[in-house]
Amino acid sequence: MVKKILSLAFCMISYVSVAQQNDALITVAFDNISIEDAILVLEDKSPYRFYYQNDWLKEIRVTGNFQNTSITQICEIIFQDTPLNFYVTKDLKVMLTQYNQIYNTLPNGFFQSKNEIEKKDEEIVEAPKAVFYKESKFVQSNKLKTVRIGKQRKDNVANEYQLSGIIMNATNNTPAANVSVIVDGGKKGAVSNSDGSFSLRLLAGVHILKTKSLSFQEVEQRVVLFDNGAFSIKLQEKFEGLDEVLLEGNANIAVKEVTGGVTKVDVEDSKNIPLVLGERDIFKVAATMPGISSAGEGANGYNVRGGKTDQNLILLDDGVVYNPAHFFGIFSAINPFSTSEVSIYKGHVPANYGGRLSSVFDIKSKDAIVNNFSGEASLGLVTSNILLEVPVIEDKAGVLIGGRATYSDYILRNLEEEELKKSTASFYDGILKYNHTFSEKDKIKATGYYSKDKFNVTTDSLIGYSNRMASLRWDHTFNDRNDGALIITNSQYQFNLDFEGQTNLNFESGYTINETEIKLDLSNRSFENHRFIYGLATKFYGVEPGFKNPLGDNSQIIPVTIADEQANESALYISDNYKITEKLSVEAGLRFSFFTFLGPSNQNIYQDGFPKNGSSLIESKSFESGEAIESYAYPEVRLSSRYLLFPDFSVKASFNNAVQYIHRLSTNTTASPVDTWKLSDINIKPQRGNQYSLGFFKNFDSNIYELSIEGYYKKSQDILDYKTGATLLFNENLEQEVLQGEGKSYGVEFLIKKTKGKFNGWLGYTYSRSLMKFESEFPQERINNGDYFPSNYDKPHDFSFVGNYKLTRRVSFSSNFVYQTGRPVTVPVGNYVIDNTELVVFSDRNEFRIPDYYRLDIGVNVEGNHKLKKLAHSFWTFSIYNVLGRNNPYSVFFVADDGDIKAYQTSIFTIPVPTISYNLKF
Amino acid sequence: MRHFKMNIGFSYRALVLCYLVLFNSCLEEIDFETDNFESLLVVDATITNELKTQEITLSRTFEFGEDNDNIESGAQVKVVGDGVEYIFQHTETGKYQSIQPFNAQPNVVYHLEITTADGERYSSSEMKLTTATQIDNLYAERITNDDGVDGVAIKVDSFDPTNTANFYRYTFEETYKIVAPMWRQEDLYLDTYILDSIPVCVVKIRQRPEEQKACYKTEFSNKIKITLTSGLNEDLVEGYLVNFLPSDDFKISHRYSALVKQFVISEEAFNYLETIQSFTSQGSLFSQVQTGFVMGNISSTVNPNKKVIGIFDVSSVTTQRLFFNFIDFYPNTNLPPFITSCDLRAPDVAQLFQDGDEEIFICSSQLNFITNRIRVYLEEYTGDPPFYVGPADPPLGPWLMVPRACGDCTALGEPEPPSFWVE
Repeated sequence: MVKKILSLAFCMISYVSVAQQNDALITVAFDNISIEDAILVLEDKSPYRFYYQNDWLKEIRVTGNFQNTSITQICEIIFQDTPLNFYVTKDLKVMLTQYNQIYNTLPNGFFQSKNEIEKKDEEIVEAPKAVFYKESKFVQSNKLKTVRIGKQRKDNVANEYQLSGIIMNATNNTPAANVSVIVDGGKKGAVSNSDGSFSLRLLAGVHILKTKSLSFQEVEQRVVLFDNGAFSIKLQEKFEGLDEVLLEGNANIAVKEVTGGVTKVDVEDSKNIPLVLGERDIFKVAATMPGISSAGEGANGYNVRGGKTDQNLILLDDGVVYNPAHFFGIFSAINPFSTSEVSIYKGHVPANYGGRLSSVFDIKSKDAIVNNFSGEASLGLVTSNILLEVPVIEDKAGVLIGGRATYSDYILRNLEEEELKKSTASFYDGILKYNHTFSEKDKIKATGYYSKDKFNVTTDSLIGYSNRMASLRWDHTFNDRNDGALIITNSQYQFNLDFEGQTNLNFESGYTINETEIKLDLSNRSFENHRFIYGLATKFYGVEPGFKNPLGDNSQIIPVTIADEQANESALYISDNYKITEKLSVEAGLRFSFFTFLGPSNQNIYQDGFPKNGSSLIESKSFESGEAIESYAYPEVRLSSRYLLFPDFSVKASFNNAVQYIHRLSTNTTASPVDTWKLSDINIKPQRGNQYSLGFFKNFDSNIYELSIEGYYKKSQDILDYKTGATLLFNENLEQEVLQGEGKSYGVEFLIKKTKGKFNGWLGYTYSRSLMKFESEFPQERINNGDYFPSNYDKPHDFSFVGNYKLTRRVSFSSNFVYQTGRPVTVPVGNYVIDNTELVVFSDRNEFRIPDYYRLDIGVNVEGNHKLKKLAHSFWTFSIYNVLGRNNPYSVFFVADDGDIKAYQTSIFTIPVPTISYNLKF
Repeated sequence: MRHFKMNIGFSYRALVLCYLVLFNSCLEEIDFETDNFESLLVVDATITNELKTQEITLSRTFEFGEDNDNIESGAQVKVVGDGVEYIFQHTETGKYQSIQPFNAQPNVVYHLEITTADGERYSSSEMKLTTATQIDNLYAERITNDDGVDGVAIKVDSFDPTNTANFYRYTFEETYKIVAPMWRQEDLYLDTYILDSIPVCVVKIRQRPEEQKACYKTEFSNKIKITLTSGLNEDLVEGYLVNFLPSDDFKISHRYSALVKQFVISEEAFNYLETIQSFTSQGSLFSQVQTGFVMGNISSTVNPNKKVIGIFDVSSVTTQRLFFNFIDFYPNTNLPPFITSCDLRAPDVAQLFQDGDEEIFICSSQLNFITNRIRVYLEEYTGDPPFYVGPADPPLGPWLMVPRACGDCTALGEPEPPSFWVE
């Protein structure tokens, strides 16, 4: 293409001469005749021949009286107010051109080396000196409408001109506000104001203008600008087009994305899925996807691909939330209204995340809408939820405020029954987010989050826990190839446990973990087919592992405070998303993480080759403030690749390893809110894990169906467990109670998803195993004789189905079915009597399973009418949880009752639970 | 409109209540069968500082829901301390007693050695006698417990000035007086003779022995009761609840006595008992403690993977007894309900003829109620006014009878007061 332009230019040059030298003088008069006629007259009266295209001359009329005037002067006058330029050649030809000026000199720098020109082909066209415009390379192959403003003159090519425009709604010819006009792919831009007008200063020449708006279809237009001028653009409205555009944009993402094992939860789509007590819950929706499960209905935390619940990094706007659950695990503590998207990395974890072995739940909250006030609210039977989006600076800044609370405490207090009256169960959570767009290049987002729970399990104990998180993120674009974000976060998790009985043992106690992180996350696209992400992060942990204080005057409890712990966790990372060929892409990442346990601290030193206990304890070594007591450093490889076998069929393989420096300790079979987090130290090593996975991804029927099969194998070292009967809370010698062993899990995940249509949903099935092994040379440090045994959440078969059916625009049905193998439990293998007391002897850990779990839920969503002028949009949700009334056992336990042992099973929801909630959007 | 709203409010409350009940009532007892029963040796071995015939119990585990009759006989048991071997002999149902009485001495390390009949050898780790500590105060107190139940609490205070005792275990023997509420002076008995070669029966009334009115019953505690003072300012046990008797407990109806034994136990024993106890105490609905096999301080000397249950401990013990009467805490209050319901019956009998004052009956199984002592005599039934127990069971006989426990306390306890009993 470049060559063509050049040859045309040389061709012209050969004809160029100084025209004026051979001027014949002409006398002629035109009285408002068409220019075509005028040219015929001139040809008649002179030897000159005109060359032009007929359609250039339409509707141009000329008037003029010329006495012995040269052809050049006549032409100058008659073409003055037309878009035509002319050139007179030596051989008596008058060449007419439309818009383009034919130069008799070449632009400066025209004779640069050819290579350079070829490289910079776009620059030639854009060069302000001269514009050799042709339907050519610069314009994309699709046909664009061209608007010409002004015409090229010898003196106007180097200038900037004012381009004004009005954007109109084509349907009703009203002005269209808030439409972005983007020039040449983002080099300049403007936004139409309320009367639809916009203006831009642009260099003379060809520009591509593109409109972008949520409510109108996009239009691309070519503008050839040689003067100040105005034009109008008419846009067609986009009817409910937003969702479809998004869907189309991601249509093939499951196949084309380089990373395997990513689950995205569509927050908006999940609103119809029936859930217990009508609470929308992104985690519960995630758990219907293969590879993500929980130990049971009331269990706290999620197990991803056979990992423990502490192995998930749960991020809300980049900040860690330690326990995003209310009331054990019945409700999620993340407000679904405030959430915009959730990405769950369960296979390949990009190198910019780290610190947990199994997965990353990356939750992003919504940015507040910046041009009008809006909100959402729901009223449920147990909780109410409200979210407001308030603009602060029009089109620039907004605030999002969300809050949710339960009224169960109020209800409990008003009950007749004495025991329930004394019970308490309350929780709430709130989110506050400020987003400010300073310019196209700088954006700031600040989020604050708090959740709180309080309840009693027995009448004499009270448990409270809270999550607190604050994050500040500054996104900056350095240029079109480099951008980055600076992120500062602070998170805190704390719980307290108070006991008030009838002895001198009353106490109040608590635990706190706090972390502050600063992270610089950069990306670079300087090289074609490469996208680099690199950065560094450093995190400071402060843990108050526990205090216990007397409660009341009578209490004889000695105040105990376990010394604070502190540590630093830092990481450097780089990853490259490299498109090797059209078919093969690789994301290769390397993360180098460091962990240092810092003083002040007293650390127990044990004799090597002996079990860690009181008798092998050599000394308690004291370390000074800030002293590096123990350091760990590991490289983490994050490798993932994708090969497109066909445009809609890909195979992905990945290898990942990860290190986790903090551990959640629990003596319960399922995680509980009063589990403590322990930092790695001199005696407790970090957990490490490797995961290999391979998956096939296929889309059918123009991406309506997505099918995937993924397999994985995971091995981890130094995962934590504890000796049976261990006491972990307020224990200064924790290392004597915990064990570190191996984990092994593997599985195959199958998912078929229908993404569009009246009927949509998905069906997932996973076969997986999750095993653990605690082997030691000392019998007291072994579990199950050092053999592999199933973990507490090992559920080989996991089937789930989620379906939505849209009956009319207002009424839709949804349904949810889950089947899982019963989880392993430890049960007695016999009874015995010691001192008149009947007791039970338990089997090896997890030798038995509770019965299989299955549950069907149904829901109906009825939307309010769709009148445009309505103040608010509302819908009702009716749902029934556990329609089949299946009494799903949650656990089996054995209680000594007056000398006899009785077996009991617990279940959380034993009967169908109907719910109704009212939702409002304004 | 207003009416409609009220309706919503009502059903809303009902629904929420329903949810709360759901959370609170999803516990049900199930039938459980042991899947992989393992027969393991169970050792219950505590020797004390009391000079007596020390006793060690050996048994075997038994299947869930079965009775405990798996005694371990034929084992060789000895305790070794300071070079002295104390041999234990099997006496009865798994109990092994020391041949010589002895008491554990301070600062001597003792260990237990067992060789079972099947040749397995076990030994314990070495244990020392714990600090001897007195029960300072044993008392009964009327309280409302944490579950809101009114009753009598038996509490203990103890103080160890040396601050070395720290781990305490309590057992108790409770003895209570039972008074038969429908005891009568008279009793029925059957006299038999032959009349015209037919055996006939005569029902006669005689005086009952006095002992059937008040009896005494002794029961042993069947719960592990442990506490620790290691987290407290002083080695002070204060108001430790050894036993709680609800106000409607039949045991406290008249006079009640408890003999409380305080064992100062080793830390190993405490941790062991605390763990196994936590496995059979009800936890929270949502989180359940991780159970598993717990190793005590006894292990197989040959095969370290061989499981054995129990702990060997050398502990100092003190005992104290208390008495109280129901009226001490509940003056002018009705007695707690008797242990069984005392319904009246007048069983039908076929009378042959009347011979003067004597009623002569055919000796048949109809008269068994007089001899089998399921019921005892209350008084004569005159039939006027008719006494109906129920429409299906019309009283026809001449004697009103009550369940034996209501009229004869020996159905429940021993008639002789125990030697320690004081009124």
